[in-house]
Amino acid sequence: MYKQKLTTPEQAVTLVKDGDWVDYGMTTSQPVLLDKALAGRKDELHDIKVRETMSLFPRQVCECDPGCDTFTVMNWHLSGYDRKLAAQSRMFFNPMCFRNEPSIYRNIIDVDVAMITVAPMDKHGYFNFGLCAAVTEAITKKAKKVIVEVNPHMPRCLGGRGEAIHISDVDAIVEAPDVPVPTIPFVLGNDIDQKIASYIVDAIPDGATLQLGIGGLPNSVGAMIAKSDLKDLGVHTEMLVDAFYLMAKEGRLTNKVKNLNRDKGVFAFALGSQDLYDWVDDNPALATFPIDYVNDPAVIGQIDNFISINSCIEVDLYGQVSAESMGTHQISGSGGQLDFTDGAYRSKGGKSIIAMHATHTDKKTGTVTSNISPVLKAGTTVTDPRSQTHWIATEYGMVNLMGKSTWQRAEALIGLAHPDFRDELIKEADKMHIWRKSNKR
Amino acid sequence: MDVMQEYADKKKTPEQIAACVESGWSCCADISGAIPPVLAEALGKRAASGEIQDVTCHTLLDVTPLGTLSPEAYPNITPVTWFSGGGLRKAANEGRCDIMPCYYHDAPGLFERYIDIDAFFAQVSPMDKHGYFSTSLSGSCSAAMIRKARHIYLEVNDQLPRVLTAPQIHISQVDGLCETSHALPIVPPVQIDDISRTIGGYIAEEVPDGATLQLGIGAVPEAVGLALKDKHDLGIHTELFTDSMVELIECGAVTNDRKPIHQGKTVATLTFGSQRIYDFIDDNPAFLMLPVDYVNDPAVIARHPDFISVNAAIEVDFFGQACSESTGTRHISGTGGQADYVRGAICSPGGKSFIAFPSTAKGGTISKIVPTLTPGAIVSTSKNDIDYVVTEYGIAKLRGKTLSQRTKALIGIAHPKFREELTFAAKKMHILI
Repeated sequence: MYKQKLTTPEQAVTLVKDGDWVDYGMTTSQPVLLDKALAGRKDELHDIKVRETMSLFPRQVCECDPGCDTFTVMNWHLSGYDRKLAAQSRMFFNPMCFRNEPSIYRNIIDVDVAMITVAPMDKHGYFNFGLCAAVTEAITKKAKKVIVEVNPHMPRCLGGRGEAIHISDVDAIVEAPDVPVPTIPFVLGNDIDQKIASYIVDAIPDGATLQLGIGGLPNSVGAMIAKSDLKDLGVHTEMLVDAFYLMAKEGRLTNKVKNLNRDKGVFAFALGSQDLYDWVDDNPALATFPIDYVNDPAVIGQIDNFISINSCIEVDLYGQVSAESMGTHQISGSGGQLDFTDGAYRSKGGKSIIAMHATHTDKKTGTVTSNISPVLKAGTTVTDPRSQTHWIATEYGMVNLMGKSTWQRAEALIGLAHPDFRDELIKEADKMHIWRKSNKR
Repeated sequence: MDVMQEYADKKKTPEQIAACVESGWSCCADISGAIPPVLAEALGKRAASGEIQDVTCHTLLDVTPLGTLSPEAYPNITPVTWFSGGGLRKAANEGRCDIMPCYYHDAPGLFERYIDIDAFFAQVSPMDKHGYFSTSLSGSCSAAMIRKARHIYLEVNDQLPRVLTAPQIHISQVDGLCETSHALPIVPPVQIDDISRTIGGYIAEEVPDGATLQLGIGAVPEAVGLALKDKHDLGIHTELFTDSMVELIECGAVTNDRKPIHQGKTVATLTFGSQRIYDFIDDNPAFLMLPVDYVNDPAVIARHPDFISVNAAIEVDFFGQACSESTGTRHISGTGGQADYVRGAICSPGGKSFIAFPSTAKGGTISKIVPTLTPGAIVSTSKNDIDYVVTEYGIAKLRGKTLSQRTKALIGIAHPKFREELTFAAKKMHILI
């Protein structure tokens, strides 16, 4: 059956017809050879809509068609590359909560052709989705046609469920022997990240289950935990990152006391260094699941001492959090932040921690602004409503907002702001009628 | 430490491992193919020689001869059966093996709460590159035993399939291991006679497309399996994974697509029997081998709509009490998962539980439907839980029926030559109202 379905990228993309909705999946699932072949059909096709998530390399359907004459590309979560295109109106953002994405595919939107990178077929006829199970099964199940791009370098991530597709459900196979799997190098955060990480690590008890995102701060948290004497930590995370590999290597991460999926580290997709990929490959101590399971607040809430750590861009004095835009400029997406903010709050002993630097320095002008603002900029998207915000951390400390009134929040948040901005913030809070006369200054 | 180095450091002969066991220890091995035969032989010999005394060995469902069960090893080793195969049955009936009453789904919790485990012995598949051994043929109680054990000893058999979701043991947890290469237990295929085929046909008619199945051990459940080949979108959530289930998956009748949990995956807690099964489960991402406290949990079973459970019994009385584990006072086996599945299936929306058996035993000389159970018989399934009873003469639905109605229905599926006698007994008991 494999031989019958094996074809060239050029031949495979002839499955795409005018007006079709094509889906590339997310991060490492995005195809390379099929993308190039589809771009090669720019002049003969019309009105092709492409959905994708977080591109880790240039997309030929965008590069070949700067005027967007043939291809309209939509994205569920922007990478640095995607962000630039979105700012030029060459890519459009799809708002969503990550946990809802599979059901959006199942119940609302259509997919004509899915093009997904997979690991080589096993002896039972399954292609593993590799580093990204998240939404992939929902996409391939909805798609009228499925083309897989087989990458022999793709790690095999064991389930859980929703981690593989059987050859009987595949319409065409192409092989990509020379395409590398994209990596993200592990880089520790700066001094500010280290400071924030130290507050967070102090809040983690033995036996806690963790969710971490990507970047300097989570990397610092991971490295700090690896060196700590914390015991029997667990992982239940949308994104599996190098920080978890470091903790496992040092024996901190055992998943032994986790009260759901005990003995297994649970994740929906993995992204990081080659060391991380070697660790996840064929590892029975890890299990990947679709995102509507991993990010379901009802699931997260069942796990005791759940500590969720995410970062954001700006917080206003009401405690509204934006993790995805600055004004109308879309930076990334909601991802699973709200899912984990809700879920970790429900967990017995759990904490959702949203962390950021207290200030932002504009790279071009050198202007320093406070990331704690009286109100969000016009057009800024709220990722976590103030009713849901739990803990906020900056290099000046960590505070809980849940249960606090507007004046208590303003007082607590101003305490996390850079001292240079505190007087100004107090004045604004006063004007907004959320400053109590006896508040600490 | 490098896992290969650690492996080399922990490698021993079976005799060296047996020599680690001390007098007074409480030892355990899990079920069927997870019991290490070479280590059991070495341990049995050590006990027979009198080097150790007062050792207890807990285990379930032996499928090959075990040295720990030899008469020479007793009483230096006292076996405890949680569910018997031939060797445990013989030892129990000869008074040299103790019996632990339990529901199978409770067993891991009982080990964790009540049983000290000095040593856990397991036959496992070869170590993977991350340093993990899979318990291969058994989900069962292994995870609980691994957690509870003070020492872990492994028999690494290169012929065991690697089962991806079975409990895993990391080399860092292991105290000693030996390497073996021997064929896995092969059980000759059951002969499906006309009676089993007839019973299978009755039950198949009651199975809707999209149902989730549990089939027990023996000719009748196998016959049911084979009678389901024309169904669609069946699911499997079972204690024992059997040959007929491989057949149902390969012919396309089972897709697992309509299961509300573990969609697309076959779920089991134990398997053994044929090379076809071993090849199917090896490295198969669509097969889940999970712990029995999860798989056999009636609440988990009940989450599957149209759950169909098929199990056998030795005798059933007019109340509907089913004995499946003894003939009078003679020990046959344990309750296993029968009660777990009966209770789960009756709580499943649209679910049905079938207790099925030929109407007679001993060459047609006795009826398996009886007015009262043989004195000493163990009730495996309560009268309050029992649902359908099936013989080659048809189906008796007992749930929701009175004693009088049950008695009439059961006599209706008894062998005709016993019906008059049964009716006479029922009248004498004043239960035909």
